[in-house]
Amino acid sequence: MKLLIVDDSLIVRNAIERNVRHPEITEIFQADNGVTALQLYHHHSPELVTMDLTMPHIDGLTCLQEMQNSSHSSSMLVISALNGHRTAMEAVARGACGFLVKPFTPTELIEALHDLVEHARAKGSCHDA
Amino acid sequence: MSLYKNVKIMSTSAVIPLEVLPSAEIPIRNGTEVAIDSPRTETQAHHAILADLPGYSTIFNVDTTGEELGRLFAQYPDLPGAILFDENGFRGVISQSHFYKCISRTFGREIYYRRPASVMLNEMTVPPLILPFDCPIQTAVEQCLARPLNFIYEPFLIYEPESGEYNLCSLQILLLASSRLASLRNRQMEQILNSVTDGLLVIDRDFRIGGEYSKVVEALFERTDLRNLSLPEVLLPILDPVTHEQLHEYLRILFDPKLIDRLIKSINPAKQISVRFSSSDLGQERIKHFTLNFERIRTGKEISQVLVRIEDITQRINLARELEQQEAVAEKKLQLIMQILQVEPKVLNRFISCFNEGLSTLEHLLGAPDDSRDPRETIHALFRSAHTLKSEASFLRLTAYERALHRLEDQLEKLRVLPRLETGDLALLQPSLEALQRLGGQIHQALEQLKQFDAPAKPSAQAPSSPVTSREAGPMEMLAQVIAEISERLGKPALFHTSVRDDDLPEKYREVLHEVLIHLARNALVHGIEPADERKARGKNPTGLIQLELKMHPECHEIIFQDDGGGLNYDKIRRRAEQLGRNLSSEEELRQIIFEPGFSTSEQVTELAGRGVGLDAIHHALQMAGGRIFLHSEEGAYCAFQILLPLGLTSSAS
Repeated sequence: MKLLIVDDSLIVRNAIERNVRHPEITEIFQADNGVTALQLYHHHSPELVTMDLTMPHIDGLTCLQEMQNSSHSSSMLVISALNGHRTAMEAVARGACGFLVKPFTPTELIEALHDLVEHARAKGSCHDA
Repeated sequence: MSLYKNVKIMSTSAVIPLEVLPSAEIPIRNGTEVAIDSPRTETQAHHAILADLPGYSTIFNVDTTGEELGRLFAQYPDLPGAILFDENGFRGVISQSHFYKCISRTFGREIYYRRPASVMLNEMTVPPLILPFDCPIQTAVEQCLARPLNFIYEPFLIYEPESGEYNLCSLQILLLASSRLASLRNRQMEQILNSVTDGLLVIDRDFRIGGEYSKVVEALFERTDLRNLSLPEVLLPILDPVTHEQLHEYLRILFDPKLIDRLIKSINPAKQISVRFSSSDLGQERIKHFTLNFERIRTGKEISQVLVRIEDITQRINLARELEQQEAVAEKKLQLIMQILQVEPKVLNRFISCFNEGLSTLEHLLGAPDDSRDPRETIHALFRSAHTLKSEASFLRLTAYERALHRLEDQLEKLRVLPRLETGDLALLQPSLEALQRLGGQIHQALEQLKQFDAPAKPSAQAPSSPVTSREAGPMEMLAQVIAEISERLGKPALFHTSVRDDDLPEKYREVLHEVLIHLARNALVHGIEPADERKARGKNPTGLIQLELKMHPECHEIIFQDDGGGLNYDKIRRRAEQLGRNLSSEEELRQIIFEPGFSTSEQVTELAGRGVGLDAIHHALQMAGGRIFLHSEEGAYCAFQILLPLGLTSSAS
């Protein structure tokens, strides 16, 4: 599976990448803004996406929406600070399948990524059937 | 083969109470009985299997005649049937109902009585249902009822592979057992729901509350009519609209099977909610704090229900708040200690004795009002004391004191503007005074605490003369500090320039000059020096300049304190004087009025200045020391105070 990490902070992106210990994740892409994220998304069609909400150029919500609208569908996890429940609900409404609140512990992150892979796998088997 | 030996009840540890057994007397092999007081608990009943049911091991050879079977069934009408074996093993089952169906046909008795039972067995078109001994009761019921309609009432066999034993059980016993288990389960569920301390309820896709919920839920929501209401409906009258809407939205999300369970918990908006209940008797509102947790129940791929756990966390929240408050108080004390630690010991002692002295003056003025004295005079006197203390506190950065004294001034101000003032009105000041007394107590406590740290350099309020080892700031250094600090606080850059050293100050006027110069410095920065941009606009150096000069004359000391600020605004002073009902024309008169009690042109009263007390206090203090003060000013250019103090012995106030 391919994972796209979208976050404007290099520290957060690297923290996520460091903690990806799932044997099924074979390729990882990083994007520090919405525009790059969408380019990478369309080019590589990752099965997994982690998305920050506050970013330059195109914000995370718009980004989610764009990805959701494309022909390829992936399991998307929002990793962001919880500024308000409205934003969180909005993210879920736009196709995210979960929300990991910043700041997070490595364990929380590992568990969340594990859940995300499971989700993508269930979705994949659904499509096959 | 004896007929009776083969009849037995299989299970000896049945948890199914006896009343579900057929009432007929059945000879029991080995004399075993079904125990009513089973050692197995009710909980184990949930996991009851077929081995727990009473079964009959009535085994016959296939050659047994129909007549022999007839005699058996006549004697034991509740026996479900007979199990037939031949030399090769198990052959089949002839139930009582099948037996009677066969023999009740025309010539049935003639056909079957004399022939072996195997003949009747051949008439069974469907083989008997054989279930393993460890099959759960509920599964057995489903399997039995799944048989063709004609055979639904046939008994079924329970097979124990280890011993190779077959036991026959009737559908009646199975259904009775199943129904008893169901009611047992219900009863237990009810007990659980009545005894758990958490509010438990289940909502469906329409957010409707299911029929079973824990008793506590009713207590939490203070209503009993919850059945079939939706959770949002119940919360609507007691929850604020914003949270309610968020929660409603979240409930929708919960039923979305695409979402990951663990990863939507973090956005639960009801982790901590405040709900309001109105008390019917008083019309008052009570606030409770709840936490709501949601567990999604999946049926296949869909989320069919959501289990809601509600907990009343009011006590926890209140406790946390109390702790927070206590922490804040402790924090304040610590701040006070830190502030005290930064203050020079000698200066602190001076402040403490001034404060205590001032406090007792205030107490005295308030406590024993002299009826012969004009209360207005008392107010002025109070003002002067409070103001002096405030400038000291401000300088020492003892902000708590500064604020409390500022509040006292506020109250005095209110009294001052009253058209008529009675001695009794002074009682209004009592709360402010009490606040100050509390502060006095606190600083005392703080010092006591400090003493325990064994800090040699820090004196206590009780021992002002304790040895001081650290370097003290002299009056000049302190003045420079005051100017730097106030200029920073006001955001008005200012430079202090002087060639005067501490030793130059005449010994006997040192105290009064210290006080006067601090007042003047505040006054210069608040009223005199303009903000930097205003100064720039006027073509002045954006940084203000404050200068101090000391001259010795044969008969007096002359001190000149000058700032290069905006100078006196005579128009403004004139207008203010007119407002106070004074009609003044000459500049000389206008310069005089600003030394009068309660005169200030500042529109804004801040903690730093603006009450018109500063100059009054200076005037008063200098008068007491036998000195005089003059004011020189040019509007837009400068303001200078000239202080003259006699060289000789201090004369009494003129």
